[in-house]
Formats: sequence, C-alpha cells, structure tokens
Amino acid sequence: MKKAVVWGLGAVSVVALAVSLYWIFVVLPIVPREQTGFSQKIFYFHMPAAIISFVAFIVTFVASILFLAKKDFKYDILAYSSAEIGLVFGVVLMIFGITWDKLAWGVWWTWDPRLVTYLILLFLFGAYFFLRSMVSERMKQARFAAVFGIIAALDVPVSFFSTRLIKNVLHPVIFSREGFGLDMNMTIALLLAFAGMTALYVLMLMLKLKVEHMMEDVHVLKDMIESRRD
Amino acid sequence: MPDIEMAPYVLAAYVLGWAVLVGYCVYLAAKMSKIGKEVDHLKELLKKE
Amino acid sequence: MTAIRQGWAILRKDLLLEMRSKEVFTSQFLFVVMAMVIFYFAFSPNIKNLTTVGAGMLWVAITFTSLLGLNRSFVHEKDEECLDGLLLCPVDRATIFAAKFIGNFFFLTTLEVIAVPIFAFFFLTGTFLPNLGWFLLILLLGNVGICGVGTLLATISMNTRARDLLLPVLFLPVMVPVIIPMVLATNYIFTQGESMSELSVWLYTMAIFDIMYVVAGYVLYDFVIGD
Repeated sequence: MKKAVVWGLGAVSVVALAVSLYWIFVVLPIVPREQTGFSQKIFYFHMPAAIISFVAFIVTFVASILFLAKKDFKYDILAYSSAEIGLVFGVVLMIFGITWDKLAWGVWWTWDPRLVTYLILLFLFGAYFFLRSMVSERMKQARFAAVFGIIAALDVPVSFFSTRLIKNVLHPVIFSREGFGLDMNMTIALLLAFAGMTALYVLMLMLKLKVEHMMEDVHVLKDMIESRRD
Repeated sequence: MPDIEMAPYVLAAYVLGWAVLVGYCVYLAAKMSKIGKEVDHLKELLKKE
Repeated sequence: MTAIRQGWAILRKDLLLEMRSKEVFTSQFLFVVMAMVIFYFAFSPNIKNLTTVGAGMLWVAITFTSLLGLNRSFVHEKDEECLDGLLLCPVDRATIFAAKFIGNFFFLTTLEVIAVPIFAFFFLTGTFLPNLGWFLLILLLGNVGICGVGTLLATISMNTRARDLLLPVLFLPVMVPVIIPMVLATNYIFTQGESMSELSVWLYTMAIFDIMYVVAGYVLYDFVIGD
C-alpha cells in the first residue's frame, strides 16, 4: 500500500470536506422556512453517507460472491472490512437522519420507510458480524458469512427504492426524469461533500485492509516462532 | 421550528457524525501502529532464533 | 430423475418422522394459538375492532411459529447425526435444500390451514371469504419466502456455536421485505377489500423476493451444509 496514496486520499478528503463545510454554511443561503429551513443543510452529508454505505454493502456482496467462487481469503477480508465501514457510515447516517426527523416533526423517531428500511439494513449487517463471531473455524466462518452477506445485501435495493417510491416530503427525489432539482450552488456543495466522503471511504477501506493483513502477518509470524521452538 | 432554534441541532448532528467518522479513522490508525509494533517485535524474535 | 427420487426420499423421511411423533406440529399449533390470545390481551385495552390489527397479528404469530418449525427441521438431523449420514450419500446438496424446503413449506401450510380459520373465528368481524383467493395467494407467497430463506438460514445457524439461537437474529431482518408487503396486502383485504389492483404492487414485491430467496437458497446451499 503506497503511503503516497494514503496521504493523498487523506488530503483530498480533508480539503474537499472542509471546502464543502464552508460552502454549506457560509456560501449557501438559508433555505426559507417553508422548505424545511436550516435543517436542509443536513442533506449535503446525509445523502453521500447513504450512497456510500450502500456502495460499501454492495462491495461486501460482490466480495462474498468472489470468495465463494475462488475460496481466496482476501475476498473474505474485503467483504467484512467493507461491511464494517458500511456500518460506520450507517451510524453517521442515522445520526443525521434522526436529527432531520426531530427538526421536521418534533420527535426523534418516526416510522417512515426510509429510516426503518435502513435500520433493517443495519440490523442485517450487525447480524452478519454476530454470525461471524459464532463460528470459530476460519474457513467455515468465511463461507457462512459470505452466504449471509449475499442475502443481507439483497436488502440494499429495498432501502434505496423505499426513499424514492414512497412519496415523502423529507426525501425529495433529486435525480428524476425532469432533470436536476438543484441549483448550481447546492450542486457544488453536494458534489464536494460526495467527493470528500468517497475519498474517506476508500481511505478507511485501505487502512482497514492494511490492519487485517497485518493481523494475519502476526498469526503467521507466531506460528513460525512456535514451530521453530518445537 | 424557527431557523435559529434549528441551528444547534444541525451543528450537533454534524459534530457527532464527524466525530464518528474521524474517531473510526483514528481507531484504525492506532490499531495499525500497535500491530505494527507487534509485527516488528515478532520479526526480531524470529531473527534471534 | 435420480435427483427427484433422492429428494423425495428425504422429504418422505421428514414427513413420516413428523406424522409419527407429531411433536413439531402440536407445539407449533399450541404456540400460534397462544400467541394470538396474548396478542388479543396486548391490544384489547386500546383497540376495539381488532380487524384493524388483525393482519399484523396473524403474520407475527405465523412468523414466530415458523421459527420453531425451521429450527426443529434441523435440530434432530444434527443431533442424531442424520445430516452426516445424508452427506455421505452421493446426493446433490441442492436436492437436500429442495427436499427440506418443500417439507417445511408443507408443514407450515398445514399449520396455517388450521390456524387461520381459528384466527378468523377469534378476531375478524365481517368476512374475507369473497377475497379468499387473494388471501390464499398471499399466504402461499409468504410461506414460500419464509421457508425458502428460512431453510437456508436454519442450516447456517445449526452449524454454528449458537445453534438455534442464531436463527431469529438472521431470519427476522431478512424476512422484513417479505413481511411488510404481506401485512399490507392482508390488511387491505381484511379492512377494505374492494379493488384488488392495489394489491398487485405488494404481490409483485413478495414474488420477487420469494424468487430471489429461493434461488439464493438453492444455489448457495452447497456452501452451508456440512463442514
């Protein structure tokens, strides 16, 4: 893993996110209260977090399939690393989501479809890790997790489409057939936030994969030392 | 809810959300350095034997 | 042809086993009726006309009861090492899935044939008999979903440390995309039941997930059965 890439990604994400924050809070005017007001500013990080968590779970899905096909553990490591990062972004999304609910409806939780289906998705991937913890043998753990990862990821489209198909004032569909629903300033803010968060996801994934490979190295080294001692 | 009253919630959400993201990165980096030390230590042990 | 005969042999074994002891059916039946009664006590302080929550009650009761049946379909296989014996035979793993799936489906449907009329007797004012065809369709689609993914997940959970404790954790979130349209459709039938065109969205959703889950179970079963 090249250090330059890591530092580059880190820099990109920090810069993009800093600029986007500036854009969101300073450059953009506050949307009038009839159209959700100040809380609209949540949207710029809420949406990228959602998309990136979906992408992370889809990566888990693909990596699980690849693992079952090729039996190479690196795919299994990719699968659960991406799932973990997906959960991290999921928690962030929940924080933004319930804040939005509080500001819009006055209560922290409403049973609207987008939050509920997303929560189910988080439960699914939480169950993914619980399943892993219940199996001790490495190969079996990877196999079972891969199968369940595939099934769990089938819920991603449910969560994604529930925000679009069910008419909901909190989730205006931005990319619709009529074209882009945002003006230039908003688009820039959104793209900046998106770029920054994507860079952050990739950075986290690289770091996490590095950590996992290092732990495998530790096991290998320990085995070597044990065998030397015999 | 008037805009001014909204602001603390929004800012709190941002701070909390970013705390989670940054915290996770910090956690990964810390784990990396800790395991890195262990790897180095084990490598040295291996050389001695 | 051999695959069908093998599958039938496995299915026949499960059916015979159950018909002799009737333990799973009896416990499921008692459970589902007791669950309905408890739901009545849970809801009756606030809700006078239970038809409004009838759909949810029915499907919650059936979902949790199916957990019992799914667990049981593998517990004695594992305990009596029947599964190991089965794996020694040159039988295609997917055939085992098919046999188990059909067995579970049969048991669940049989249970519902008895439990649903009791439910209707207890809780439904008015009748849904005019829409019986639609209701049966919903039941069937729901059962396929429950048994399809349930058979796969039960096999996974049986092979772990937590055994039958893991199944609810895995099964319930996975079932949500099937349960939601199921309850909505059933509720529509119980409370309104006029134009059936609205049902089609939910029925399609259930059908799509049923297909995905059964196909996934069939294809992936090889990876989860046995060690």
